[in-house]
Order: sequence, then C-alpha cells, then structure tokens
Amino acid sequence: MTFVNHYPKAARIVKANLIVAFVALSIGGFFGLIQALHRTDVFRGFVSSVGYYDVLTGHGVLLALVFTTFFITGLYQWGVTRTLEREPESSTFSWSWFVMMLVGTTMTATAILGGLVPGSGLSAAVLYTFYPPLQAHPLFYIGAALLIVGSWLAGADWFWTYRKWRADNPDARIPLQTYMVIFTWLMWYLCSLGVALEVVVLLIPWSLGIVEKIDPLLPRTLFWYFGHAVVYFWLLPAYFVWYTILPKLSGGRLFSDPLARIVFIFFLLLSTPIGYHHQYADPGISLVYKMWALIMTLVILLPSLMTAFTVISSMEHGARQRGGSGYFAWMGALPWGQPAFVGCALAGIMFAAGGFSGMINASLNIDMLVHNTAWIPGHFHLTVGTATALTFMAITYWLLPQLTGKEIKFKNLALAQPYTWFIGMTLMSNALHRQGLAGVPRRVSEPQYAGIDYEVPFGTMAEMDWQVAIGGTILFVSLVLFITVIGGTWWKGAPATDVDDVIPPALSGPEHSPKILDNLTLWMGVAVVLVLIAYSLPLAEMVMDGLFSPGAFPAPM
Amino acid sequence: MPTNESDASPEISSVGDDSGKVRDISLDEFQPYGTLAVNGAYFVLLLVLYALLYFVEFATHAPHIIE
Amino acid sequence: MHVHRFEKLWIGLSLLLIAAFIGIVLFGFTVMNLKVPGVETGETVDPATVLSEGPFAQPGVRKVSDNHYEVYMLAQQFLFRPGSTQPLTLPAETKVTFHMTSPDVMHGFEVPGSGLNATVIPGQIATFSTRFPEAKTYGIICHQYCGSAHHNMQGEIEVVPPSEFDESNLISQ
Repeated sequence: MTFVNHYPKAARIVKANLIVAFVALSIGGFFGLIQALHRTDVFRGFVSSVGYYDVLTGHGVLLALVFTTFFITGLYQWGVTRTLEREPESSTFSWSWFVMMLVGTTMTATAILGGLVPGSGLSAAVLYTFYPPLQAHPLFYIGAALLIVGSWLAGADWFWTYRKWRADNPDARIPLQTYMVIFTWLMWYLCSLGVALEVVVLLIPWSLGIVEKIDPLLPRTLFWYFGHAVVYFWLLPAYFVWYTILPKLSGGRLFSDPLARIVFIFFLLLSTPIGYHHQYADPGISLVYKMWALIMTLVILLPSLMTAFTVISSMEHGARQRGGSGYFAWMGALPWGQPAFVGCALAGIMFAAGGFSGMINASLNIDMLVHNTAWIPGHFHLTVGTATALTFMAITYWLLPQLTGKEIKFKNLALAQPYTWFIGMTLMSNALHRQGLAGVPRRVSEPQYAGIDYEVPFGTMAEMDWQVAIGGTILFVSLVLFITVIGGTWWKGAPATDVDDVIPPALSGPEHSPKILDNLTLWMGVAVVLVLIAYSLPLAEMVMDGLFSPGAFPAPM
Repeated sequence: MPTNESDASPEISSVGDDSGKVRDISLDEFQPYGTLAVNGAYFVLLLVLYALLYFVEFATHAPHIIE
Repeated sequence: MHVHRFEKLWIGLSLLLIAAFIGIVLFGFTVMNLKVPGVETGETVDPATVLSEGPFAQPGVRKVSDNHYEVYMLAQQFLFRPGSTQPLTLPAETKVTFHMTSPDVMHGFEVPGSGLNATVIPGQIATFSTRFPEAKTYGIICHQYCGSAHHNMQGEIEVVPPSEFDESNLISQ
C-alpha cells in the first residue's frame, strides 16, 4: 500500500503532470542535440542556420518553462498530499488548472513548431526570452499567459488544502514539504506577476496589432524581474528533493528541519529584487540599481551555501550509519548503486560547479567578460540543466513505484542514466565555459566568423567544439535511457511488492524552532517591500514616459 | 496513516538499496567532520578560482569599459 | 533551535566569502577602473527618427578634445555602422567613448576576449568609454539575438598607433 493506494485522485493528477513534463523533455532534449551538432559545425543537416532559431526557441521553452513547471506541479502535488494527508479538495478544480496549463502549453508549442513547417503561417522564433520588438504569433503569448495563470491556480489548490488542514491542526507546525511548496509558490506569485503583466498588458495587444510600437526596455525589465526568480522556481524543487528525500536515500536523516525553513525564507525574500543582474550591460538601468543587484545577488549565495552544509551533512549521516568513516572516505559508503541517490548526488556536485560560474555572472564588471557568451549556457546547463533536470529524473525512479504501484524496469539502464548525464554534461559544459571566456557568443547558429580568431585561454576551438558535440550527444543518449526506463516501467512494469516510501523524521525537527518561521504573512510582506524598493522607481520611470514609448516597430519572427 | 515514522527504528531498507544501515547515529552523537572537510575544500577552491578568473582572466584582457 | 557549531562556522565562512567577493568587485570597479555601460544623461531617442535626426544620422568618429574621441555607432539588422562595411579605425592609448543605439531591434556589442560588452536597445543610448592599449585588429560580434541573419552580424575595429590616426575622415560637430 503506497501513495497511489492512499491518494488515488492526487496520484492521477501527479501522473498527468509528469507525462506532460516528460513529453516536453523528450522533444526539447532532441532539439538540444540538433543545436549541439549544428553550432559546432559537426552536422548541419537537421535545419538551416535560420531554422536553428525555431529549434532554439523550442529547446528553451519546452525545457525551461514546460518540463520544469509540469514536473514541479506534479512533485509538489505529491508532497502536499502526502504531508497534509488530504486528497485535493475538488478534483474538478485540480484538473482544471492542469488543463489550463496544458492548453496554454499546446498553443505556445504549436506557434513555435509551426516555424519549422513551411506555409503554416505560425512562427515564434523569438527564443525563450521573447524580447520585443522581435514578435511572435499571438498564440505564443496567449499560450504563455494560460500556462502561468494555470500555475497560479495550482498554488491556490494547495493553499486550499493547507487551509483545510490548518483548521483541523491549529497548533501544528507546517510539515516541511508543504512549507517548501508554500514558500516556493509565494515567491512564484510575486515574480510571475512581472512576466504576466509583460505578456498580458504589453505583448498580447501588441502582437494582435492593437498597438503598433513597443518600448523594448520595459518588457525586458519586466521579464528579468521574473527571469531571475524563475531560476529559484527551478532550484527550490531540487532543494525540496535534496532536503526531504535525499537524506533517506543516503541511509540517514535530515540534519536540520529549521535551517531548511530559513533557507526557503531567504529565497522568498531575495529572489525577485535582484533581476537587474541580467541587465548589467544594459543602457536605461541606472548604476544604483545594478549595484543593489550586485550586493543582494551575492547575499543570496548564503542560503545555497547553507544548503550545501545541511544537505551534505545529512548525506554524511547516512554514509556513517552505513558504516562510512574518515574525513572524505565516508563518501564511498553512500549507495552509489542506487539510481535515485546517484542522480541527486551527481546533480548536487554539478550544482557546486554551476554555482561558481553563477558567482562570476553576478559580479557586475567581470560579467562584461562573459555576458551573452557561451559561458552563460555553460553555467545554466549545470544548474537548471543538471541540478534541476537530473534531480527530477533521478527522483522519478523513486516516485514512480509510489505513483503506479509498479517496480522500476530496466534497473541497469536506470543506474547508467545519471552517470551518463554526468559525463556528457562535464564535456559539454566545460567546453562552453572555456569558449565563453574566448568570447564565443551564445544563441548563434554559426559562431564562426570570417576574420575573427578567438583567443583561447588553453586548448583549441576545435577540441572544444568536439566536446560540445560529443557531450551533447551523450546527454541525448542519457535522455533516451531515462525515457526507456520510465516508459518501460509505466507500461510493462511488474507489480511492486514492497514500495519503500517511508521518510524518517529529521534529526533536528521543527519543534524546537521559532514559530515565526511559519509566519507566511510576515515573510511575504517583507518580500513585497524588497521588490517595491528595487523596482518601483525604475518601472515607474519607464512607464511614465509612455507605456509603449520610446517605441520601436515590430519585427515578426 | 502517517507516512513519516515517529520513531527511528532501524529498518534495513528494502527496495533498491545496496547494503543498508549498520547502526543508528543520534543528533547528539553526530559530528559532521566530513561535511566540514568537503565544504572547506570547496571554500578554498571558490576563493582561488574567483581570484584567478577576476585578476588574471578578466583584468588582463583589455580593453575594458572605463566609465 | 539547534545549530551545530560546524554549521555556525560554515555560515561565518560563507559571509566572509560573500564579503570578499563584494570587496573584490568594488575594488575592481573603483581602483582598477573596470566598469559597465552607463546611461547617457537618461536620454532616450525615437527609433523612428534616429536615422534622420541627431548625431546618429551621421554615425562615425568625432573628436571631442586632444586625447578623447567619440563614436556614434548604430547596430541594426544586420550590421554595425561604422564597423561592418569598413573597419572602424580608432587610435590606441586614447580615450574613446561609444554611444550606441538601434533603429530596429535589440542587438549586442561584444569585442570577444575583452571587457567591452553592451546591449543596444532601440530608444536607449548605450554609453561606455574605453582605451585600447595597443595597435591591433579587434572583431565585433552581435551577441544579442536579432533575427534570421544574426549569425552574420559582425564588424571590425582597427586600432592604429596615435601618430598614424587619420583625423581627416572625422565627423565634424
């Protein structure tokens, strides 16, 4: 008897979300393979160098917006249901947010994929950031709005369950998983407001021709108001897994529940006000705000560094309970033969590397060396591309038996998959970082320019191109392994006899931590104030000189 | 039925685990020396790499924006 | 609330690390003069008229004073003006101020392997100054996706010794 038996309604919703996530992952991942081979000039037969930008848009949107969001809503539905021990309050409501998200996704994906179909009349080669005046088909923007609003309803669903639980449990501390869901979503409401305003107030009317011209700086600023916090929308669910499940997978217990809560409070407060660090090279943003973003972004390192301690010490606890010893040798006692553990652990290691390149990006002037170069995708393939994506894949191995009642099929492939991902990403990401230092640009189908010789810190351009191409191919192989295991389990998996879904309590629980940590209103209030401090003046200035002015003409893509 | 155990009885875990637990370590017994060592090494690495990137890779690659 | 002393130590070290990074950046910004693009007096321009009115109607190099030149440069689909059809020639060891805007979509300005990096946004003027240390040829790449021929958008800066810099082609004020 496991999750699917206790909570069949929730299980169906979780599974639906995961299926959409994995379909998006498959298509988006395949597009990544095309890109890795194309930009390195290893193979350019899939698309033209112009069609590349449709593929790139698809890759970014399907992976960074669709795969992520649907996996997160599935994972979080599971977490809320099991810790509050309540099925969703209304199946109709739950399915309605899922359907809204799905319809929006389908509209946006159709607009993007239409760009690859000659004569379709649909196109959205605007990339995942969709900066105007580059203009996509209206379907792209309307679909994006539906996806976001649908996700808001998902949060409302869980708050509803929480309020019902609270009525029955007036004095209890919020269970940690639900706490993390709530804080992630409070942050999500705050930051997605920016992109929702951008899309609904500015871009949809403009794409429909209701207004002709648009001021590019305002939508770009609203996007980055959202765009930095969204990376924490991707990261916090990975932390959710690392804090609440990884200790158990390691054979131990979470070292500190209260510290996990404090970390999530930090992210609620700081994620949104630092968006300007994506605009260090922009005109129109004053130095004062760039400096503010610098300081606050480096401060937001703190909750991640704290996470490094709490998560690693929880793993160490498991390793020592398994007989490990020594200052470093204890790591050998961890269950490196268990796919769910391996994926999470390797994801954490890569995140440590990705965190470093993020520290460089955050650092105002040195960002001028790497901004919009290949260093940037080198960085985020380690973070969202591994810390998030690989954790999500790995934890699916542990969740799927609970959701389907079936045992994982092809266990050897499941074990090979995270190691393969790690190897592929090491090759691809190190090469992208080094190419970036030489000035190779990102988001370009052909980064080879006549008359421009890149000065490489060490190695050669050819060797780096091969690492990107081979690394990208290995990543795709890893993705195929994952889909094979999941598909095989779902359709042909044997009934599981004994599903291990038990999570032992934390070593240090919430009982001894200040109740103020659970004060949602207080922390949300502080978060709103910080956002107002950071964004009200600059946005007001941009709006006051005319919402759509200084206006540029649309460039249909 | 609560899905978190309220007692930490040592269940040798079943599905998907290699060898299992050999002992219990309580909160008071646990001293995360290994974590300190790993994080300490990471700390040093971060400082060194950051300084290298900043003062060598970045600062020596003129021209720069000066105002 | 139980916080292990090792974790307290680690939090202290983390705060030190953050302070060190902030210190390094601010030191670089002030003492080493490593900066980012600024705002030209908060001025905006109208993308619809920028090609016909104002300084961008005549893109090119102007002399500000002895030892200071400025470039009004346009980034447009899919070239830099000046810079693409002919190299932009500038003197070494001299302060050069760039003013950049776009009449159409967002573009990027990157001199690979250097700290010269800017976003060029229609309606805004990206301003930054630099000093090329030696006579050399530099590439310019557009690194902000700007449309279907984005990968063809490039330019060249030819930096010559100050004595060889020809002032006869400058735009007069």
